[in-house]
Amino acid sequence: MSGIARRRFLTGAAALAGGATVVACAAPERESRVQSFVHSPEHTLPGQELWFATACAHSTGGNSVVVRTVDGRAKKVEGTKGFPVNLGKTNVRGQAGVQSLYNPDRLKTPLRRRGPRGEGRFEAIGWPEALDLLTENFSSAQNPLIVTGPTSGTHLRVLAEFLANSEGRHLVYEAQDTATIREAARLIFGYTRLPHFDIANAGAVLSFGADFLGTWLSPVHYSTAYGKFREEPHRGRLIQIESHMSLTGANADHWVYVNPGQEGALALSIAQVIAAENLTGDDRWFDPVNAVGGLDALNAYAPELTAAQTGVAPETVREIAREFAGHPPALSIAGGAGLAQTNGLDNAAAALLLNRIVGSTGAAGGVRPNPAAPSAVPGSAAATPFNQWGALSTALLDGSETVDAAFFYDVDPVYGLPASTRFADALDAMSFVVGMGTFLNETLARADLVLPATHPFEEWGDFVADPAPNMEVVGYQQPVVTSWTNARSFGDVMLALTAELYPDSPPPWTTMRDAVRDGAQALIGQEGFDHGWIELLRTGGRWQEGEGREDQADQPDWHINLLAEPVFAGDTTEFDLHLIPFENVAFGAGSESANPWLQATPDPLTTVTWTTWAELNPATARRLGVKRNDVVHIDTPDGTLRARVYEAPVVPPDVVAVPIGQGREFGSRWNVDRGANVMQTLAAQAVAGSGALAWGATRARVRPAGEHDRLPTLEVIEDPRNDGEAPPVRITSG
Amino acid sequence: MVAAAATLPTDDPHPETDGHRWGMVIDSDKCTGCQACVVACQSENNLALNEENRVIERRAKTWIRIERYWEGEWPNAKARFLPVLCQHCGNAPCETVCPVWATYHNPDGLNVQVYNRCIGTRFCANACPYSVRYFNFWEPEWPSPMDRQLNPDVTVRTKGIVEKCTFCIHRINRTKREADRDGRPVADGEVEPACVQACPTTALVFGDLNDSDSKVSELSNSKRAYSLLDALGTTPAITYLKKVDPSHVDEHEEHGH
Repeated sequence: MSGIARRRFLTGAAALAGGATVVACAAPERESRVQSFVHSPEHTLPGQELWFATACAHSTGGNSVVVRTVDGRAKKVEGTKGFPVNLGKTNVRGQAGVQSLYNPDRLKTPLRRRGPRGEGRFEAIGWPEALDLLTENFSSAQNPLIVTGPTSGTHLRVLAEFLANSEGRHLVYEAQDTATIREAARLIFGYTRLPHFDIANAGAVLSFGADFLGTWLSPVHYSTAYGKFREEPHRGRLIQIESHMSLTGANADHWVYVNPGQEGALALSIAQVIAAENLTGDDRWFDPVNAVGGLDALNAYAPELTAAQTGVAPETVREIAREFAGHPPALSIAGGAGLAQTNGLDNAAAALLLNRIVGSTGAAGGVRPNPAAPSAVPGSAAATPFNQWGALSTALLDGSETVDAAFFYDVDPVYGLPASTRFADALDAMSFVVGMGTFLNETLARADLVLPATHPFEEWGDFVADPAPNMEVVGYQQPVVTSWTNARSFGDVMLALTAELYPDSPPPWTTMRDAVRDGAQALIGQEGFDHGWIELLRTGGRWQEGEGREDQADQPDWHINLLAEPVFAGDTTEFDLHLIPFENVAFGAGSESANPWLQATPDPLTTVTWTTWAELNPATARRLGVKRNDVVHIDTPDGTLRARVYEAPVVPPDVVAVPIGQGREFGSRWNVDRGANVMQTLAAQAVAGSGALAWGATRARVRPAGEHDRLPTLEVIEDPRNDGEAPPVRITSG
Repeated sequence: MVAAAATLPTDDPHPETDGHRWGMVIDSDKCTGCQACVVACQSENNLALNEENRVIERRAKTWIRIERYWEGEWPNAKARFLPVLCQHCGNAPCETVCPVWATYHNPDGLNVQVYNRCIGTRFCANACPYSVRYFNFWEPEWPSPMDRQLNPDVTVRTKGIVEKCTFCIHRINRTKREADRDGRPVADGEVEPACVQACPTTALVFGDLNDSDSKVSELSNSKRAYSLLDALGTTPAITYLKKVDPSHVDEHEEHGH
């Protein structure tokens, strides 16, 4: 973004902040009204705590939480005991939920754009006016577009009511694509749903970059499983293979570096050793190997033949194979940067194939098919992979497609898609854009109408756990406090819009609560429903064995010959390092960065807080002439970013690793103008076969900026430039 | 309820009591360094926001923190995690240096900080070998409406005093009161400090060390057990369990050790 454009954005942010202040004066007064005890809710006693089970329905995996409330205010979040996904536990994001709820910079009232698109200037309006504007624009729309994050349950039924009447479509934007692992599971096992990876009961886990303790698929569930996995006397072995050490890698018994994009070759090398040494003790490996090309094809991946390509010594490959196959049941999983390569789907397929080779399928400690979602509560909607967003952007920009009304809820593709996709420009080509969320973000800032969404603790909802924990799990979400803002829930707004637009065929519910309750009635039946409904809300949901588990395909639908070499954006002479972005444990791909607790949560490996850093191996840093705290420019073929150097001995010498999540121009006082957005600098390459963004396939060079700026870290390491003078300390607040 | 005599220093780190001796076990083999305990503690105990400049100035307050240690050099480098919080020492160096008895040992074995006695000398923070006592250089601030999340069971500490982990004493007291009310003993595992409750891998275990059948007593007798800075003789109430290194186990097994 040019300097001028950036200044315009900042001006807009300031104008918006001013507008928001006016609204903030009104809403709390309403919520904090003094009320006689005679009129207070029956179950509320002053000073007495009440715990409500609810959920962040769209959280990764689907966790249920209980929220402690006192006098109508949320105080503390804990996991819902017994709920099978998170088993009473939470992660750092779950714990920080109350601080997002009470964040003073939340969107508080509908906003209408003033001035040109992209300036980010808005004026506060009331809901009646906002709904009129919404209805007016959507009534004339030929092909309305609804974009949400990953969603399941009643939201989909509510959307279906709208879509049944209109010519519209619903697209699901995932900040980090799961398309590749889903497609790989289909190719290798024939499963159309994400299977259950049974870490708890595994004897050995071989993970190709899957950060299951931090950010992969359902991290709280996998963390609880990891606790059991490490129980003595049958403590499991964890082997992690990746190009940048993740939190899971840091906890592995054996961590192995692999050249980026060579995970598939290494997986086949391990398979070759298992077959050649008959490490399974029987011929169970024969059929799966035969189905994907046979032993001759596999022998081309013998450790000696792949060592130069993978960067892993033949003896290490043999050790891994023996450790893996020697501790049954052995589970192989894949995620992270290895899947975010142009050949990522084949890397994932090769990694998952190992489960078939050692026979770890369909049983405890292996890969198990999950049941189908119940018919009453729809399962996850299929996500739209990156290549389709790129195609949409291109079509909008060249005029071959038009969108006359679009509704973006709780997503930020302008932030998350590479700048070279030009999605921000594509958004400007849409005639009318509505954005809804709890905080302003880069996408909402370009909208014509911004609607404040309720926080998950303020609204009704439900979800089907995905991936399910080897059983059918439906979670329920209920409001635990009254909203202190003038926000509404997305479901309520969609129902109101549908009823207004299509009075001849209105939806059967007027509120999201009615819709959720209706789905629950279909789920548990009419008889004794009132009691059953209370139980659903008390326990967080319903779980049972479930039905519709898919049979494993007879043969993998994949062939060794499909494994291609990875393609990287950027010439190796000009861009000498691999750029590996990674999700932050605290706020993932950036959706929670407005939360100051999460900003202040140290990155587990580097202990850095509040900013973006560039991880370099000390030898690489020396070669580049930079040290810890030096500011550097990281150039890619598609952009550049600034970050401060953090030297770590676990970083591979040919890698620069940068966390995702900072670099916002819109949000809260805690995340605006802080760090840099690495996603914007990535090349717009897709994973062949799945269409996901190949976010690990961009090369970079690092240049000193000639400045230094102390990194906010928990660890105490003397600044190499510090000549003994004490660092400046400010002892007064403000 | 605190007996006045209990405020006096004693030579015996674990004097006989009829009551509880609360302790914790931290299993390094299960701790993933995920930070859930850190934020759970901040949420439960009304810790002020750690703004960026506070972190840079080393004045951020985290009653429990995850220390990360690098071991070795590339390509054999490893990261190791160590949660560190107040060790509730039996022979606590912080207790003997406080001129106003703001910090003392209570009958349940807790190292307790009385905020309204503290005059802010910071002697205790200097004496603590674990660096787990935090001085309030500023008045804590929560921009409205963030103050609504404050836990009414926990005091907000003011500028000029020292604060630290309490083992969530308000949760302990509540559980004890409920058990008294019901005429039963406190069950093992019934008291869960916020960090223990949050820990997804159950690396943190809390309980009564006076109860020989408790999980925490059982684990603290593990062969992997050790105390932090054991040579100082502080007799902490927290026992750490060493991380298991399977390559060493195999080596030992192979060599018959």
